[in-house]
Amino acid sequence: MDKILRINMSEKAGPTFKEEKNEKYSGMGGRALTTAIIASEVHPMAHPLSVENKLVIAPGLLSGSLAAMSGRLSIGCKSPLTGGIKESNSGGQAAQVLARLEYAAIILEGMAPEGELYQILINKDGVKIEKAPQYKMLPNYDLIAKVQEIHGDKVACISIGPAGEMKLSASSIAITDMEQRPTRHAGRGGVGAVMGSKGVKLIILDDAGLKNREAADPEKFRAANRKFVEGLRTHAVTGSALPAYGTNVLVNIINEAGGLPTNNFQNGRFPGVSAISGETIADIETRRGANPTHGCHRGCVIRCSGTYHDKDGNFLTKQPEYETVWAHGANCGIDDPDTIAMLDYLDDNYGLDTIDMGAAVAVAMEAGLLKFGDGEGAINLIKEVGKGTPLGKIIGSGAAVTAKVLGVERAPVVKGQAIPAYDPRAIQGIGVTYATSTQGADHTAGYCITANILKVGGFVDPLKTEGQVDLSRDLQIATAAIDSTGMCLFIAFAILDQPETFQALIDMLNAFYGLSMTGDDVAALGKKILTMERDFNKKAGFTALDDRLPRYFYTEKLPPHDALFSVTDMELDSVFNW
Amino acid sequence: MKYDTLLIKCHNHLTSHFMQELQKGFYVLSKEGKTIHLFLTEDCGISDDYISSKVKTIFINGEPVDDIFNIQIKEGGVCALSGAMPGIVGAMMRAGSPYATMRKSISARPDNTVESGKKIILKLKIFNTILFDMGINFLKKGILLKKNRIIELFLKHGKDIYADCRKIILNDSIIKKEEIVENLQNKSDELVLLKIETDHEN
Repeated sequence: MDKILRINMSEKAGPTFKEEKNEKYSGMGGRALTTAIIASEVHPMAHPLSVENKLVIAPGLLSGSLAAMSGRLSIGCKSPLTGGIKESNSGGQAAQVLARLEYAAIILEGMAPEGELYQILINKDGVKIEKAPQYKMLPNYDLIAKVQEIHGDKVACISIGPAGEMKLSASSIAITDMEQRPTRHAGRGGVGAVMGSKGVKLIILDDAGLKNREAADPEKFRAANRKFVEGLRTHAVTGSALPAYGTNVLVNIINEAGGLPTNNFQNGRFPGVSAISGETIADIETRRGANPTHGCHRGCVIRCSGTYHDKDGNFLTKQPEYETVWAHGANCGIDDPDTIAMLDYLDDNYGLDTIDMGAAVAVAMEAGLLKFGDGEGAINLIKEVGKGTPLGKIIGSGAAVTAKVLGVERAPVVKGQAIPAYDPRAIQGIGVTYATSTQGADHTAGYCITANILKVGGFVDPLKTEGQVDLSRDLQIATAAIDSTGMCLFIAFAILDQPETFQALIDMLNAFYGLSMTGDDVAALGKKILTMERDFNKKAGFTALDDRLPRYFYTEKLPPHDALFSVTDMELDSVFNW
Repeated sequence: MKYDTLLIKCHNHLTSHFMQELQKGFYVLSKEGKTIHLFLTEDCGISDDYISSKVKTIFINGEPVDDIFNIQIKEGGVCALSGAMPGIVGAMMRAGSPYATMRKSISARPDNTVESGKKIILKLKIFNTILFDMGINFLKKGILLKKNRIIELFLKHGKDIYADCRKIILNDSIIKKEEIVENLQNKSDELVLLKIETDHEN
């Protein structure tokens, strides 16, 4: 995996490509690689949809190997939603296939002439770039059905829907799953719009005839992988709760904590919560012949994704994630699982971020365009996005734009990106991460841990009160590093509690690359990534004032705890002091 | 405390209709001032082993609990039980989490409630793995619900429930399936002990 594929979409005679040896960014993968490339090759003041921006697609360090859970794909660019650096990652098959094709990254540069649309086919024989006008404005499911007719059901696809082609700021990039459905998405930050601006509709990856990547020390690698898998399978979260119910298992407890944003962040509890809980939806799935326990890529042993069938027992969409059930459910006052599943399908089909879409629809509800709880109205609104009507384009540009256009004060965004499913007034620690993350409001930016496992950044004594700021810092450092391995972030739950499982991950990396990394090296990598990202954002015009939550989180009490966000600006400004 | 008793004899899969009720919460009789630990073991019949190995997340009145041996219960309280949860916020919510400080503003704290021994009712909610492990047993033993909740349940899902249940017994009298709502409406007690008996128990 030592090649970089650069595709220049601007050439007059049509797109060209060149392969180069990965020397400058050697040893990097996933988020580390996308960040390093964007930070060094894209002007921070470049317009995100201009010829100067680049779209970097990178598998993780262990992708394409037999390492369990190594199927995350990182996609980086300057974000049209936040105006800062962006790494958005996704599961699905593409990371594994791209790594087997030996590419550390694909970089889309320049932009095709307005109106031209291309597909890129990559297999063991090389790279083919073709015009693809036949796919113009095709939604993702229809697009992939056509790909299947031509290329069969074994290839992996990276694609955009109509939202990406219209360059909407909340558009996603879809990645096909094991069943070749476009259900996995690099959802955040409008990465789909950047792909659309390049004029690329579809990338088809075919690893036929290729083998898994081999480790430098295969025996040690296999032993570490076995230990790693054992740790995941025996842990209560990764071995039990997630496979049984998926991420939506969180709905009930976040609601109980009074932190489930409801009706556009006006309440912390949703009265209809038990109808949309992970427990209830898993039950519906089982009764309708769907499967609540399912992996999103080969090599997944947690299997937290699932399938959702309609009332007639036909596949409708993937099992909606917690974020989707919150965004389109509680946040819009909708308690019907079938409506939420339909909204999930529409988001995937048009290529939209479910978090920003749910937040934007809720803002529209508060503005009076439709009522909270109006499921049919919400479906129609997302369909407007797919059609590209003027209102649809506003909604598809995300919650921040929607709130501005409709004159709603309560815009739940940081750096222009919608706040996810945990109200920071009730759960203040996550608010620190929302405010200070380089990515805009992002619950996954501070997901993993360093303290207690890596023994760096200080050991956290459960009996003492440590600072939320310190913990958020540690979490963001470790997450940036894990995002670079290509590992699913859900491994965090097992390595949180089981040091031997974390050690197995380090051992895998060392055995694969012939290294002798320690926990300190992992933390140093995380800091390096965050430093590059902070530096880019600063040059793009961000200041400390951008590391704040919207003012109403400080002034408007959230029931039932009547909580306000109370972390001081000084504390927020100290997150990145190391 | 007075309540009516409603026994539903049904096929196994019908229990899924009642699982949402366990998530919404049901009432358990207890005494004011008991610790959460004693409430769970003595009044809910949950073993110490199960609590320490499976019940990783506990809320009292929406506040995450770290110390079940010192937090006391009182009238009108709501206790919720969950297994270990994913996500950093899931980790924060766990009892004794190293990340508890990130939700410290809502954490439960001892408040010196007097151990009066006065009879009280507490609402208990069970979620995810706890629901899977213990839900059927709670339904078998019987859960106390407000009468209106049961009427609402039958009005909403009556067709499905009638199709799958074999016998309905209200206070020892067999009643027709389609007359259950009317029968309940005519009862004066506010609470109903709902018991579910599935096929293999007969």
